[in-house]
Amino acid sequence: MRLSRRDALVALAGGAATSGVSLAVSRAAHETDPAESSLSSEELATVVAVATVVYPSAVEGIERFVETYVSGLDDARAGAMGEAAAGVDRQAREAFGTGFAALSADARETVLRDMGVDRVASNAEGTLPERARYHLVNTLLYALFTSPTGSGLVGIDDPVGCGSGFATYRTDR
Amino acid sequence: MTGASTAVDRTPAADVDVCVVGAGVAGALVADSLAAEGYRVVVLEGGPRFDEESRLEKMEKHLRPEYGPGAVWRMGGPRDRFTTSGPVTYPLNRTRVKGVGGSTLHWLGIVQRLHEKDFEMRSRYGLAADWPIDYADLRPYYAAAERELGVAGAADNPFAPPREDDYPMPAFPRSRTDRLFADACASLGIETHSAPQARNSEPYDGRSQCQGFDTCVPVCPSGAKYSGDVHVRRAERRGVRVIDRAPVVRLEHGTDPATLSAAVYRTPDGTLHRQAADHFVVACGGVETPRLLLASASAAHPDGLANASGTVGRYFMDHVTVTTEARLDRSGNREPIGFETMHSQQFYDHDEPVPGSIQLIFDNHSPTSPRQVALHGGRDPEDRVGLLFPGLERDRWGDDLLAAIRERFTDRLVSVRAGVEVLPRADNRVSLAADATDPHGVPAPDVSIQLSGHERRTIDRAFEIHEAILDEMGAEVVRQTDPSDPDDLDWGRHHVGTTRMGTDPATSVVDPRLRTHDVDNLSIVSSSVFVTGGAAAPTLTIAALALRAAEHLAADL
Repeated sequence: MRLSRRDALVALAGGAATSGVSLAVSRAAHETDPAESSLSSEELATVVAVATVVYPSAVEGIERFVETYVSGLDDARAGAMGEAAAGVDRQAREAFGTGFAALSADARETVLRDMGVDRVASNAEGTLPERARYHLVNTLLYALFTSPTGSGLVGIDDPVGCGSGFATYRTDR
Repeated sequence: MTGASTAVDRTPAADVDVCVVGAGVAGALVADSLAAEGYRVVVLEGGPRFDEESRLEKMEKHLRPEYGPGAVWRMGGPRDRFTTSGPVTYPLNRTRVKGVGGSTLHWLGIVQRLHEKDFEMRSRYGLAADWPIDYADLRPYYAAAERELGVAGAADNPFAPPREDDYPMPAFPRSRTDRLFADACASLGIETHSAPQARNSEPYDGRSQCQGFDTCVPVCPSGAKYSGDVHVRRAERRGVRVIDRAPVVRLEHGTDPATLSAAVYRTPDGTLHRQAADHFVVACGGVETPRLLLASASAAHPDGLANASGTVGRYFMDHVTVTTEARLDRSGNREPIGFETMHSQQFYDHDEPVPGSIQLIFDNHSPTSPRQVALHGGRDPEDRVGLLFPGLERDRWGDDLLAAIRERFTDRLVSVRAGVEVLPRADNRVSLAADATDPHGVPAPDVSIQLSGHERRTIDRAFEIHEAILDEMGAEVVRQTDPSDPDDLDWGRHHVGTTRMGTDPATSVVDPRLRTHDVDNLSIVSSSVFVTGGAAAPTLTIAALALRAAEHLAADL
């Protein structure tokens, strides 16, 4: 299952950006360039690395998908995501002496679980683990499973929140 | 919003012909219609304007577990304080929205005409009371309301009251499970038909065709679903002034107790203002309308404004909805859509008084949402313990999460609902809470409602029909609403009947032109004027009554 740039746009805009609905959606409605992201390259690498932990291994194209999705977030959300990523990166350096993105897959998961990200309530303005769950884990999972490719892992072409269900709800398969 | 609130001019308008209280669908239609006739209109709305560009963000709030059910339209808190008395804890704040557009912002969008019998319940069955108008009186306004809201439907319902024109848009096609239900129903002699709705099946009135986001309740990101703010915007283009965040705390009269002089409202900075007008229209729905009248008591109106009959707040109704859910031995709907596309009104009209009206609603049951399971760490999203104590079990990620999603995934569930008529009873009422107020010191509403034997016998009949259909489909029933458990009842979110219409001032609040019997320059245009509620969704009738009342006001003023 390869994620596409369209998947990221659909997750951001619910398909509106790709189906012509006139909505002021986000910067992702325009051509995006990862270099334009308000996250630093280190922060962005950390976000992508978190996605490799929480996304199923069958998912391909994660880096481009995440970069496109993050580029479409408004500045406040991108900033909060970047801060959470920087916090996770600090935890990695304390535990392993190297940045989160440079760790092995197992070590990345260890960092997140040792922080308690998998046990705390998701809170956009809470403690670092709570913010990491909100801005990184849950936001990345939201993006994946409101995209056609993500929901396609269980055979759904147009998931809830994806604005192309009108074309598919009558299907007889 | 706070910053913006200080920059907005919320002072009263001068030289106003009509002051409308409430910017939901009824108030919006009245304001727009009167403005089209050249009247100077101001609308006072207690809630805020909601920025349309933020609807995708609202959708994400709805779809993520971090936000509560009131977050999308900011319902709850001191402003929306209420109490309930009686056996049912009525979930008032989950059934309404305060703001420009009103509760149509979060509604599903189903629009149906009441049936002829709904206007004649006393004459036909010896139940409740007759309306002082009949279906024929409302029929042309129903057609006009369908054009105004934009209704998709088909004239394929053999049980519907007579109509003259096609619907403005074609009906939504049937889903896969609609076809399964329809086959079973046909075997049982039950006729099925399309479900009319104020949702664009094709572009209409400058708004998009439905995109299928599957989040109609509580928010339609594409704008394909009609909401009252559509007519608020048109009214504003016609010169109507709409003041938001301006809750009216009381209506005042001068030396003549039969003539209102002002609507007194409070702005976010705490200032009290008085909006004068020649005529006042209260359009605040079935709960806030009686609340405002009761809170406007004076020496001349000791039991509340326009309440010489003592019926303000009484005869409160909502539709109760019961559901039977079952599991198929094959796939149901694979793709979600978020609204139903097939009904049956075969059991709506009835020969005997009991069982009463039943409307069958065939749900387009969505498959399990992978997003929902993922954002709950791979746990069952309905697992309350997991929600309350998230640290008890570690979240599942990666392939482990995908396995959890697949374990929980099913597309084999189907459900059929029944919208059941609730008869008006004087004891079911909205009154002023004895010990709760909003931040402005206005008593909060108290809602008291319970079901009678009539509704219980109707529910029993609905379950018999459900079970016969599901048995014919070969589906195994896995869950059914427990009507003996008040917390298990699903309400239609339709507040009707608390300032009912009639010709006798001793038993009703407004006359057939929706003018109050007691106050000359006060109209009530709202679901609160319904005499009975039928089993049909009320919004089209609200809109038809609003267009009719506006026509009368334009002629009278």
